[in-house]
Amino acid sequence: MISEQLLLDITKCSRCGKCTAICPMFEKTKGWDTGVARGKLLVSWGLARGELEINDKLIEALYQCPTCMLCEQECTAGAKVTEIIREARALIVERGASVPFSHRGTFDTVARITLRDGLHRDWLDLIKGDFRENGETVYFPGSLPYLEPVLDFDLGAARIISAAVTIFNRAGIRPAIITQLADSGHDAFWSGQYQFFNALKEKNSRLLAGTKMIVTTCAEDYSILKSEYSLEAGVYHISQFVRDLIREGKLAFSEGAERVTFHDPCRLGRHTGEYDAPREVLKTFVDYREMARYGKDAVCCGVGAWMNCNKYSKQLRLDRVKEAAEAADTLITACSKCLSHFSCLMTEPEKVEDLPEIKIVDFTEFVARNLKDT
Amino acid sequence: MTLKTGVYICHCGSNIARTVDVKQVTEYNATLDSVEVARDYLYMCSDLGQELIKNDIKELGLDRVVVASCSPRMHELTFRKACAEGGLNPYLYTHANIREHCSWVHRDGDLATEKAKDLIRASVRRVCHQEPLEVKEVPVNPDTLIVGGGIAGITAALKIAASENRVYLVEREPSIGGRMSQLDMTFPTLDCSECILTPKMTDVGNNPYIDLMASSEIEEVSGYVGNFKVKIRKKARFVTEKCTACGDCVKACPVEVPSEFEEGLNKRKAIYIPFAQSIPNKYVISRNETPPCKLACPIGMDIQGYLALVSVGKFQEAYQLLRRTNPLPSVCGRVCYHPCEDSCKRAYIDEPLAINSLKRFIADEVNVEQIEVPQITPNGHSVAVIGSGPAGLSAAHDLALLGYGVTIFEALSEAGGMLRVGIPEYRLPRDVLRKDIGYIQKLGVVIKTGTRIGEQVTLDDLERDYEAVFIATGAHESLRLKIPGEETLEIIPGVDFLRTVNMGRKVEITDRVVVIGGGNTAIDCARVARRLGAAEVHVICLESRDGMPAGSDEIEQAEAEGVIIHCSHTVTRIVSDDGHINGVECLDVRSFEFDEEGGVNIDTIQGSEHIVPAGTVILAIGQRPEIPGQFDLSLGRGNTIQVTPDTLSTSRDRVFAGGDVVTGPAKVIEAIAAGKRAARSIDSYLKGEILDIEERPAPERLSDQEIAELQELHPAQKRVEMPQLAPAQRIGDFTEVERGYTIDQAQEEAARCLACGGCCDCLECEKVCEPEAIDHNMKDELIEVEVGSIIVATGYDDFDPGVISEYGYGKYDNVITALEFERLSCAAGPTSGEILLKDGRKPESVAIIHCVGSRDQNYHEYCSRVCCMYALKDAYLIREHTGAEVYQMYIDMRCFGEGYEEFYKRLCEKGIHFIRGKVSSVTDHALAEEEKGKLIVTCEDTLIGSMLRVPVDMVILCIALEPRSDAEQVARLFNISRRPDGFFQERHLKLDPVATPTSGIFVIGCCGGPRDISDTVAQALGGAGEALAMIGKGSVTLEAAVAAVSADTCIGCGRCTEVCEFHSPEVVKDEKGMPVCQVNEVICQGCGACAVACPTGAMSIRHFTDEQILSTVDALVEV
Amino acid sequence: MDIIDELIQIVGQERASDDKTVLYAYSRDSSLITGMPDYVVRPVSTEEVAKIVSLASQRKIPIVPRGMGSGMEAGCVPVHGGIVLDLHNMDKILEVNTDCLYAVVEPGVIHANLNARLAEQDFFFAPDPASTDFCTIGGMIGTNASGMTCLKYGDTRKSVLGLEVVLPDGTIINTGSRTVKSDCGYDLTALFVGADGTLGVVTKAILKVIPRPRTRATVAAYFDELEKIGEVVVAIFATGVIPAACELLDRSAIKVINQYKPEIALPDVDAILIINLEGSAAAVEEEVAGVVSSCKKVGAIEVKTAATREEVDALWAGRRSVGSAIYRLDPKRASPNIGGDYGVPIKRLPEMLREVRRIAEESGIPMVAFGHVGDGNLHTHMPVNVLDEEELARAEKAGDAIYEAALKLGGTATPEHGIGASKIRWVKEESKSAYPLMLAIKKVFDPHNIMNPGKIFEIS
Repeated sequence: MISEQLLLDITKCSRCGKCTAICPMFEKTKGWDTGVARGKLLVSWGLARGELEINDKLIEALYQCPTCMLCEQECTAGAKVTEIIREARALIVERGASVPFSHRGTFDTVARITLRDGLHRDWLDLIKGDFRENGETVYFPGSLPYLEPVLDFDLGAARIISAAVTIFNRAGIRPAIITQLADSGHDAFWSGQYQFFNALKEKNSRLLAGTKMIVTTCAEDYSILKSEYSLEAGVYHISQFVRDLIREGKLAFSEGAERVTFHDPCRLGRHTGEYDAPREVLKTFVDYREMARYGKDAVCCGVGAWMNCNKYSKQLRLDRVKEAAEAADTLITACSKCLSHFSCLMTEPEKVEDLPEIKIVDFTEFVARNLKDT
Repeated sequence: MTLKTGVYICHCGSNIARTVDVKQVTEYNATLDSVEVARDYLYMCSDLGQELIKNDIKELGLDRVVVASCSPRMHELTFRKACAEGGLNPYLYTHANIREHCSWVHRDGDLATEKAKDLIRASVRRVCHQEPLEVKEVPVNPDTLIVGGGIAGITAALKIAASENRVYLVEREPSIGGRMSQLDMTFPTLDCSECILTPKMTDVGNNPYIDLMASSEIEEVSGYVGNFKVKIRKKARFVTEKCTACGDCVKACPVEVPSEFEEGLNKRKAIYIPFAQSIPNKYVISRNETPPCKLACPIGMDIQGYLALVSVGKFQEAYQLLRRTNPLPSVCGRVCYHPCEDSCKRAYIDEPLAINSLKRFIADEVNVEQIEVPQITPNGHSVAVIGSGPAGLSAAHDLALLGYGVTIFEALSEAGGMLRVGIPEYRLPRDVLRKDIGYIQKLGVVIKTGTRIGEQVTLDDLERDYEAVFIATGAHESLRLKIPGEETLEIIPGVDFLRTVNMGRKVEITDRVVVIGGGNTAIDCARVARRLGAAEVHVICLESRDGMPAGSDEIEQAEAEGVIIHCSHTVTRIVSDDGHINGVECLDVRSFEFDEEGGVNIDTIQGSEHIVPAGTVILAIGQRPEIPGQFDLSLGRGNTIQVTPDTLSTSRDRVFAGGDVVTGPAKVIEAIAAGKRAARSIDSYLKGEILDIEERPAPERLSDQEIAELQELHPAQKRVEMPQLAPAQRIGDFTEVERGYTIDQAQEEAARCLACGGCCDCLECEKVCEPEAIDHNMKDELIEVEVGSIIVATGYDDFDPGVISEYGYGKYDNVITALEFERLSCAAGPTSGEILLKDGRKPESVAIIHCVGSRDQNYHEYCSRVCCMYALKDAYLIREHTGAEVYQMYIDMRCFGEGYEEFYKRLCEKGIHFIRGKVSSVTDHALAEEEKGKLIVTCEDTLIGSMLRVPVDMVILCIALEPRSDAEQVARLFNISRRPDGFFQERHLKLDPVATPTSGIFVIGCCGGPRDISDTVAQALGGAGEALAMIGKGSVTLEAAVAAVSADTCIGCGRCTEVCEFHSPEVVKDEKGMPVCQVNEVICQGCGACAVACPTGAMSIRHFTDEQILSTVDALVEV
Repeated sequence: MDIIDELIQIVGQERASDDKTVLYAYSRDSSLITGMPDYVVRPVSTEEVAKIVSLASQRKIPIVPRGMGSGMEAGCVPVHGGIVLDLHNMDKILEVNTDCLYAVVEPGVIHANLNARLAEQDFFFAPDPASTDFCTIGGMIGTNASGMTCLKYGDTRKSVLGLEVVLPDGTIINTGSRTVKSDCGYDLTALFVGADGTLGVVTKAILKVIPRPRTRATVAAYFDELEKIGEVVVAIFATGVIPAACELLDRSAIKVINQYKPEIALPDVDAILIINLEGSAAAVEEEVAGVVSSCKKVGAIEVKTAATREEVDALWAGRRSVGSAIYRLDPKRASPNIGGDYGVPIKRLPEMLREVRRIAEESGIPMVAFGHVGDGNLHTHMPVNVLDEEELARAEKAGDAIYEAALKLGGTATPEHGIGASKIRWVKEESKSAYPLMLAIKKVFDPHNIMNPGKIFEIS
């Protein structure tokens, strides 16, 4: 249900239009006003007040949005746009509407698979490095190991997890990898499927009870664990964990000459406010460069929560990759959604005009690769 | 708004009602939400059943219909039509198969009833998600393509043409008629096959609406039902439309090859017509790849041509053919090193053809002086040639024919160059050379002997007086050995030795002679020395025996004349005392190799020094050209003239050079080739055209399989020996050693030729063809036609019984296939209807073996349907013509057709022995007296339960009918599929036997499975019906359930274009310039591959959307 | 054929809709007034607009032109339904000719984008509304928008040389010319500017563009008494200086800003004056001196000057964040546009501000006043819980009271935000004798009253 307070929040929006100048999607679609924050708030208001029924234009309005928070950050009225959109999504899911996931809802099904105890893929043999069944320090993989078989290009899930384990081991820690851990529920939460999200949250919380420290490599898992779970253990994104290890002098790197830039995943940056950790890490061993739009102004890869993968968000990714190519030879990001969609784009050189030459590497894998071999 | 669904459940007589409690299922369905009415009926597909649906739609206002009955493949179209007539969009109906999927496969009534409920419930859930779809109409091109001109293609073509619609009939063979034209009598009426076939064939030939394309094949098919585009390759027949089939050319054609039509039982000429009544009634020339001998010959002579002419006794024509490419035929006949023989395919069987000897025979058979010279129209240009060797003479000959005024300047007193002074008389008689040169002079070529360029006349004079100059001065200066004693003593240079002898001047030689060198010059010096009376002649050469450059037959003849050859030796010193030579010191040689500058380093064996006593030493280790300084041409290695390889032009403008002067000492034929190329180069240079260079690929080695086939076809037969002068007579006598072939010898040798190239370009046929219909330069033609439908009638292949070794086909002469028997018994066949054994005797007893390759696990499991009947027919003919005993070994007599059983009854009264059993083997190994000289057929007679051994004279194998060997490519070409037995897949065995799953493409006749002529004709009429139905309607309705893409979710990644085999989806730019996919709904077959490949779910198949399919699944698991 | 199919025929499937959700998104602008449209269309060319308008005039259904919908007075709200013309896809800058001081644009061009393009040649389009990042030129023309710098460069009307307009009967006319000066019969261009789209749809505009001033400086003066503001402004003008901008923050605004962003730390005084000076370096220097002396003369507590970019931004930070500050006051209360835009003769500013404080106390609603004091134009923002009818009604009564007070002081209730639908009452009151003439002109242009009905006039 959209709470009373959220309704008041909607009234704050005076439809001044500032968001139309900022929303990267609206700049591509140039379509109806429902394609921008103020339109989405208005239709949420209409929905909540019963003035609008659920139809495909309403579903499109609410779901054709990666909830990247750029508009919310600049809104004069300070309306909590993403929260309102999410609550509106929850409302229509409650009323039986089906979530128009991209990719035929494959990844939603993957998450449901991780929820069922009987069904889980024993991917442990793919992971290199010293780890154990359980313990105080936990590495939270989320759905990463389940993505590989579904995508038709090499995401390198096993490599990323092994890289994380290598970093743990280098810091003298044998991380616990609990295979029964389910999807973090980020996509369920942000697609408005609160019931499904709570089931995931309950299962994960049960498994994580008694742990001290949880580290995850994906920005989305980090943001949901931090903001929506109530865990007694400390939740860290891998970039924060590596930064602390460097400060404690436990990690040493071999100097790299490559020009590298970092794409701030909106779930790491705007949603949870962590901009500096990845930069501090990268600057220690590589020629770090900033892109034109970075930090809180970084433009999203267009596909939050497996939502909204279409030709407009593809143009978004193309612009983002071009922007990165102007600054550096390698683009690092720390979120499985950004990584999979940037990598997918790079697999179509012959079909996408002026696709720049640039390597896309996951933050964890890049860090592990540059560790000085002892 | 809630939907109103009508559910109709069929009893299908007892097929469904037997196991499914239809009443209970109907009541259950009535309870489902959105179901307005549920009825059951005995036969839903009947008119009354369909009326139920139509009325309910009208009265109850149904907007969804579900029918539960048999497989949708049977009646989906029927019920769609019923719904449409009731006023409901046909795609708002769906079908539940409760027969094949339920009642037929389950015995337990209760379970079957539950399953029926589930299946129908699933359909009810699905039908709610179905949307109305519009069916598209596409115009149909009224023309039709028929592939294959057998009886099937002919019948279909005539029937369609009767409706005055255009038919393109494409046949691969030179004539239509197919297999049927090869048959003798047909069962059961004993009509003569050709009598009933040829009228139909002539109708096809004359019908204005049938565009017959024989000797043609389909290259490419694109497009879709109603609008196919077909590329057809009309292969060159080399005989134009003007041919009146008079047959004169056949008499003139010298080339014989096995006749395919007669199954190889006799031969046909290269220009031929498959059978008398062929349509199109035009002759055709069969031409295979260029024969290897022609490829190997440096001047590409039409060798197979003149060998063929010799074998038919046409020596004059053979000589004319020689002259067409070779300016010095008699000379070549004697001295050519014949590379053609090394690549002759006959070598794989026994020995290559004696091509060179036959060339000499032809030249000798003809009096060169009486050959008139062709008419030449001078073109007013003049060319000078320096040197009258083979290169100069050839250039002069060819330039003269082109109309140039040619003058040859020869330094010596007689023309011929190396031919005159280099090659001794016993190999090349003077008059033979003189006649060949005489012919060239008759062409108007002036030969000025005794004029050395540089003395009386300079090269500059020639450049001034003539428009082009060709230097062909050869290579006459002997090379030095640079060993001690060489300068001081008179070592005789080999070339000078031969020149002195050849010019008739005296030369002193001692009793013992040593010749140093391994080439032809050295061997000639040695043999001349023998003839001048030297008692002991030694040849010492560096090379090993088979490494010697000299021709192997010359070496043998020299040894025959007592010349002693020391191979792998090197001369290190000339031994002498006070100026008189008394021997040479040599060393044995392990190996040697030449370095770039032409020097040689030799690996000698220590301690092998020995002296060879001799009074005279002749040095013949090679020659090099002497080029006067004032020519000032840029020279290459070994003092040769440097030229651009293709045009032979030198560094001086308008001056060309060729032969040994450019290449150093080489073979005569290579010099002739250089002269001919120079002539063409000069001609195109003076005309200002660009010289086109003909490439001739080297002949390839045969694969083992090809070699085996050759050996199987042609029994080995040694080469005819060339008569030679007895060695003893050769001493002191310069008469020619090789005496030449007699006519019989020549014809016997020429007959060994395998005629690899088919037509040998002898052009004899062109000479006799009055209507001038023959054109050897015809090229293949590629045309494109547009048709509405395609009928495939490509027929069948015969099973090769050779693989069943027990039956001895190919091992015993008188084991023949049924088709070979057809040719034997046919009046127009090789034995004009006499049924004879291979040795000509009449058979007294014949065995006919059924099911060879058919109804057999190891080969084809199917029955070929026609063999039993033609076996009876064959038995009848054998009894009638020869009165021989006939044994039929059968498994079952399948005489199912009209009048078949009656025919079988008649045969039983004729005293034919029917033995019911599978034959195990056929052997000629006799165990008893009466079995001698017979073929013994062993088989079991299952009726009397004992093994039999039946001795017979002839065995006829009823071989299976199997799919064409290229059926796979043909299937891919027309996008149709094949059944497990290899024949083309029909759409439905019972109801749609002629159509295929690819709409617009039909399959008729034996390419769809073995069948007799009456069934084939019936199917052909069916195929014509299908085509005419489409043409009549003028349009074809396209399946509405095709792919559809939602433009905004599509990201233009193009994965769907990669998986679609019909090339329907395509990525285009939308109005905002973003890549998005577009589906060509006409081409799309609705297979769904693209929908599966689409990562974003933008692509879906109408009538089979995710929603519809998933709702069915959910309904099935609904508990 | 019904209207939606005709519209689809004109602009295609993608750019015409009658879907309820889409229509709902076009039912509001920044004002409190709402209205559901029957159809929404996104034309991309003048021809398409002409066809749509002639269709509307045949079928007698309202046409409501709309830029980016950031208007404050419900100018683009379809109060009588009909077809909303969303012109934001007509966003091409057709011609830029800085030598002849003009540029030709389509109505959907965003103001900031135009200035970015002009900045390449160091030119700019003078009027600068606060909504520069997202408002369209078409919207500015409809409402005759102005901003902080209009004191020096004038409002939109002063910068529009000519227009291409589709009249209510669908015919296309061109007014004005590319020359800076043109006087050819009645000045119809000026008539269309500020007509809130009631006379026709602007499909092309020829705008005057001027070179950017080379240097800029800012002076901030703090006063302990409101009254001094009036005096100082007069004093400044007296020195012959026309500042580029002259903005006022009163005590209420200062308190709210400090609460929202403490780091700005404005002094706790009765009023702050912020003045921008632009022009050649020498002129600016002289003007700054003149302004400083005037402020001191009138008794400013403190006067600050700033030249560098950072210093200028620091002084202006407070003024820029006043809009957002109000929203942050109370999570339950938004800042609707009530009593938002009014003006008085400069001398009467202090009285007006006193009057506003009185009304605030009386209505119990805390109010914040600020504005372009250079041309006597004031804005008032008040935090109101729009879901609480009583509070909303009380606020609206207070808003009207402010406008009445302004009129009483000889001012105006319609200085810069245009009339739209929410200020119809004040047009009648202020224009008095001219009102019937205006109505007559409307009837001439739009006999069937289909062009943005319910705006400026309420014709039954």
